[in-house]
Amino acid sequence: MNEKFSAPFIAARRAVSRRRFLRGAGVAMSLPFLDAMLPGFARAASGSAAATPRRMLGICNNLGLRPDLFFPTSAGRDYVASPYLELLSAHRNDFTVISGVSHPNVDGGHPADISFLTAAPHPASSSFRNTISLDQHIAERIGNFTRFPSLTLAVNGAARGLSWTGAGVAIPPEERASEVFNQLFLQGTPDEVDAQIHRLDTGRSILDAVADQAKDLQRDVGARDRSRLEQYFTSVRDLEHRLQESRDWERKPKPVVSFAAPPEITNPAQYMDKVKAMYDLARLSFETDSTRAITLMMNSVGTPAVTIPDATITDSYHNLSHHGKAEEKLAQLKVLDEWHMKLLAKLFDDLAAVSEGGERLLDRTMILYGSNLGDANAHSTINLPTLFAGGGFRHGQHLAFDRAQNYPLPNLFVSMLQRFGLEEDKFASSTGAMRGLEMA
Amino acid sequence: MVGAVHGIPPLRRSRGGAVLAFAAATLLCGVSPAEEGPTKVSAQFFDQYCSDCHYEDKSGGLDLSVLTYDPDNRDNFATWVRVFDRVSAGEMPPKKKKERPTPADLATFTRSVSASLTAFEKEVTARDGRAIQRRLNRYEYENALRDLLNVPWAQVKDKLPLDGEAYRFNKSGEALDVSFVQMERYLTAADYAMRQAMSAAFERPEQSARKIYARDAIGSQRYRPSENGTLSDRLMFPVLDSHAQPEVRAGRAPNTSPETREREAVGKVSSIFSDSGQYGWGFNAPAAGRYRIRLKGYSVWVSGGGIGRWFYEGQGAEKAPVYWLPVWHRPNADEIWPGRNDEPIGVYAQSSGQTRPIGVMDFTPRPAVGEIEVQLAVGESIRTDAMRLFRTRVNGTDEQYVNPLATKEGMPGYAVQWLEVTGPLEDAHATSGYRLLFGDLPMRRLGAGEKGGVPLDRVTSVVSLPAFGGPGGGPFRPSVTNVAVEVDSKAPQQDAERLLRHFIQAAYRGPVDESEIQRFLGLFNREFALGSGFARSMLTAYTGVLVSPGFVFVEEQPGRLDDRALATRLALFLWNSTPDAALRARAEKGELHEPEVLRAETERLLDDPKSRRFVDAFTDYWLDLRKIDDTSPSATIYNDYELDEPLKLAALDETQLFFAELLRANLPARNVVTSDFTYLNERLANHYGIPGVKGAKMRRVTLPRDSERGGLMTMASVLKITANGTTTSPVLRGHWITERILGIETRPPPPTVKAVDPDIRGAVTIRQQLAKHRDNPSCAACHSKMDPSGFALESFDVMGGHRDRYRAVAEDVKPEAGFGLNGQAFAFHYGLPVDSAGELPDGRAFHDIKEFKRLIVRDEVPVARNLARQLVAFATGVPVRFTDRAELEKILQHASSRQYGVRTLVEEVVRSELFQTK
Repeated sequence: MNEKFSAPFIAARRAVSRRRFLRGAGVAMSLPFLDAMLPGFARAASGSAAATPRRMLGICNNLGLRPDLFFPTSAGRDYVASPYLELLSAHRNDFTVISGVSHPNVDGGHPADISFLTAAPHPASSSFRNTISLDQHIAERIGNFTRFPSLTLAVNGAARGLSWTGAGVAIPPEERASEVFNQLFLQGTPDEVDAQIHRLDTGRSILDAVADQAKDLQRDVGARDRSRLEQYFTSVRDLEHRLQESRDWERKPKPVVSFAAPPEITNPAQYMDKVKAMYDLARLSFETDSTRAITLMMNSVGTPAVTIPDATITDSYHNLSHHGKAEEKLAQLKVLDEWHMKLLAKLFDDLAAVSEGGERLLDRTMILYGSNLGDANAHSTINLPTLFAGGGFRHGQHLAFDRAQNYPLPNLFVSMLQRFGLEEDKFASSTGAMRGLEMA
Repeated sequence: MVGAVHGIPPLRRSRGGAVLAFAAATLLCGVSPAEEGPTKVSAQFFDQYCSDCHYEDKSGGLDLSVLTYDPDNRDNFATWVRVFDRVSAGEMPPKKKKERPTPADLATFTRSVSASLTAFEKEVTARDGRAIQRRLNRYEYENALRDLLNVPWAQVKDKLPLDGEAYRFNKSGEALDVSFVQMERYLTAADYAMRQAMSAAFERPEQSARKIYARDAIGSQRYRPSENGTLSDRLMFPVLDSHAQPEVRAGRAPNTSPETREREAVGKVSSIFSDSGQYGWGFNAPAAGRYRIRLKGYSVWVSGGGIGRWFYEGQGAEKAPVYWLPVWHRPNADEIWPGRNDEPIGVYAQSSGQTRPIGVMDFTPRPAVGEIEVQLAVGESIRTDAMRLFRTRVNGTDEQYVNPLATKEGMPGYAVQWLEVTGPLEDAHATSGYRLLFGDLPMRRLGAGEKGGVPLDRVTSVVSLPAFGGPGGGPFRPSVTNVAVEVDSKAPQQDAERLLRHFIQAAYRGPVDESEIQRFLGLFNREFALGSGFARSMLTAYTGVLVSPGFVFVEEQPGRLDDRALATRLALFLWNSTPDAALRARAEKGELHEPEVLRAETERLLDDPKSRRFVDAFTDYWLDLRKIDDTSPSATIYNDYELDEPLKLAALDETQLFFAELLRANLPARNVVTSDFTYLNERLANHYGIPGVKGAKMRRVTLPRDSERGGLMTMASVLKITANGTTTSPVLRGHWITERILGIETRPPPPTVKAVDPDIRGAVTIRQQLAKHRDNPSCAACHSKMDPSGFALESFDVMGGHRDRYRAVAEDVKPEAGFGLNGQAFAFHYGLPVDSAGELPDGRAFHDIKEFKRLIVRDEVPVARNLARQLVAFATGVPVRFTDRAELEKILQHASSRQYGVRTLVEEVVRSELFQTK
């Protein structure tokens, strides 16, 4: 279907993370932060959060990593790198490896991936309600500084994402890198912009009408029912608000990048290529300050036998993870895990190579790489393999907590919020900020 | 009322101490006896009989010393219900305790708890109803749009965010949230569905039959390998009367000739497990609607010994292929023989980014024509492919990507002659969706330079037909593009108001206030004034209607439902959609609540084909059928099941058809546990070891007397869903069966319990691993209920196949070659023998699953009760609550004379207070 014609209003273009409606324009920050481009444009400062842009990339590989090869055996700053971490040795001082952490009461095996950035308890229970994810919490607060408040991305799974709104509703992830790229960097023609603004206004008038109806209906119902209509009403107003902000962004030019649009990869077996394409996009988005919060769900569970150069993978990713201690499967899993490490090293390289305001982009970008599973073979949801890189912390250490009685992972989220310049001391089931993690 | 009022402070005290905190709270707040709940009576009771174990959280995760009464808090309320249940069932205090309450003490305690819980729930019901207001879920929204706009092919569900679940179903307002994302998706989905309705009326072609010959659709260049690549199993080859045509294949004879045209076929020995399949016939549905698809072809047998891979040497004119040695598992396409078996051929409808299976046909060794009728959306194309021949399956050789069923004697393949598509079939209602939107107003293409317009999908006709086998030749390539249309009105204001009034009444399921008409007319006026044209301005107003609370919310008032609300609830229950005109008419006349009328309407809805939506939606959640693809069988130890689509689809069909039959024929609920029939096709019958079932079509089969099948828990679907693809766990399976089929809820294990780490090396069985677990008395309380069914089902593997021994992988043991049930060679290693014996919590022992089922079904009431509970939760969005228990028993009592027939249970649920009050 031709996207241009897909709807008379609003959904005329596929949104990044399919969220068409962008928070806008508190500040004139629509243009790239690239040093090379800065001189031509005045930079409006607006509050401390805008002064030094901070960013986050939250990654969940929902089958995790082999714990025996990931976790170092010694702790502290002098820890001996594990086989996997050897592959990141060039960046030893750019990351902290953390063991013995998990989300309190987040259990249930595979379904726990949707709680990875929310820490909402018991995701597999029948009465489960998810809560807001870290990136959305951030986007609500500083999303208006950028064209896109957040990006929700996935590899091999448009059905499962990491981003959840405050209402506990999933934001469907975008898994086509080329589509995201177009949204980020492709200019619309003036006619398209006018048409888009007309559509946005039409959308707002529709929303106005139905909001009025919801208000009228609220008068006649009891308290519990009213709460449902109120939620509807709030959602409508929220959407209207976003339409307004989106409208403000429409006339501002998008950043120009020299990077070519990524190829469309549809074959789920090309998992690693897809991951790399998403990493590239994340770096470009941060580099152009198009957004400051990105989530990436690597749906390894829904991935067939991965195509790897110079290696033969015979089983689907999920089946390999249920290796049952069989050597053959463990060996193949290791190949996949090592690829993850290599791609991360490349991402760190790329972010370190970009300079912004005299700092490495890596030092302004927090990268959380982890999983909802500590050991996929047993579906265990404790002792999650956790790597935390960049963002301006004193890294180069192994924070080792009790691997049986875990330390709360949400504490890391609190540290991240604080690094964003937000005055917060609580996220989900946190008990404070991450012990042993200091800002640089 | 908020929790603070009901929330009585905890009885903080030491064992045997005075209830000071409670007394203080009573004095301070001045709570009346009705509001203070059961805390006073229970404080003494707890002190005396429960404190040894349940103070300061010593046992069972329940610390009575800090238990408050806060019924607004759902967990707190559930705790009190559990306390009530365990005490009144005599399970607590435990029998071994010396000091036991007197009957009088017991009665006082349970009466007090019951009275408080009942009073609270009754108050809530009176004030708010049992259910809280909810929106339509994504299944219902899709069906509602399909029915309203007559666009049964429209794919709406997947455009909406996943729905929340509560009480196992997607039917409760507590979990059906609305967010800005949801709103955005409603806007998009409503717009899409309306444009589908318009598209069905635009350029509607006459019914026509189009016959596409395989030799035309598939260029002969597919007969020959491409450079450095194509493995021979991916190639196609010419077949005539079940034999090869080497001359044609080599390009020395024409691809087709008039004398043999009708008998010519194109063969293949492999299929592709993805949406980039072969045999795309170059047909795209020119308009949405119903089509008849006929496919002619047959199965063939192809010799092995083909070329493994082609390589080329030299440059330019010198370039020539260099052949490698032939290998047995590659096809030799110059040696074709009549088929040795039947081959199921899947038929798929494809559009950008999605493939959906629409039918299966059997190819036999003799040419035959298969026929199906399907709904297609505009632009959808047809693909056909063999279902057993996925080349990515492992077949036990070192070589990958071969025909998985290849043997030293050759391999099965298939040959297609032609595809014939007739349609869109005559349909008097084809344009009824358009007529609802625009009445008799004419639609035309938008003029050049004209503003506004509504874009519709449209198939452009074939530009040119490439010469057969010519360079660059390929299949037809019709493409889907957009065309903008406008609807002409001579009196836009009047037409808009007239059409909108009619539309809102249809959408809102009942009479509508004039103010609502004006509200949405305002949207039209605004848009029309901006120059968007009539059609787009109307769609703007209609979109408003379809995303408004009046459409997406289910409107019910506390107390007894009025007829309009009753009609909606009935339709959402039995059709998973909104009421049709006939049901609405009954409601508008105010007679639906009359028992005779309600009964007749229930019958009518159940008899309508749309009731299949109920069967599918209900089993999707009750039995988790929607999760059938969540895991796939391990390609290491269960590679006989790898990519076995026919088996998986048949397993799904079996369960749905079985439940539909229980409902249709009003068969007793005990069939859920054990039954003398099921639905099978050849593949599934093979899987179950039941002889005499041929072909891909599912049919009702009476099971052999001693069969272990029959009933839900021994169905492949359920057994697959309750396993993880590699191992089975008696605990996880047992827990699932206990909850879903036997109706006993058990609580999750305490967080400190470590999950059993599955071991598939074959040295230890899961039962041995679990033994330690079960020896712990606090674990045993629940495990004695959950594990028996799990143990009984240990004789079924991850796909529901029967097993006597586990399968395992082990490096130090040489794998033995085996044979999969589908004839596919593979290798695995046998582990330890399976032990499927166990005993029920009451001590009755069973030896295997057959005995287990016999013991369970001896009392069919709990089975019926569980089904009724699931139906109530699905139909009303609320589970059977504490105060609903009596009403549930009434439902059962009324159904008892019909042996708890499934249809009777559904009817009795509809008749019940639970269904007829909010």
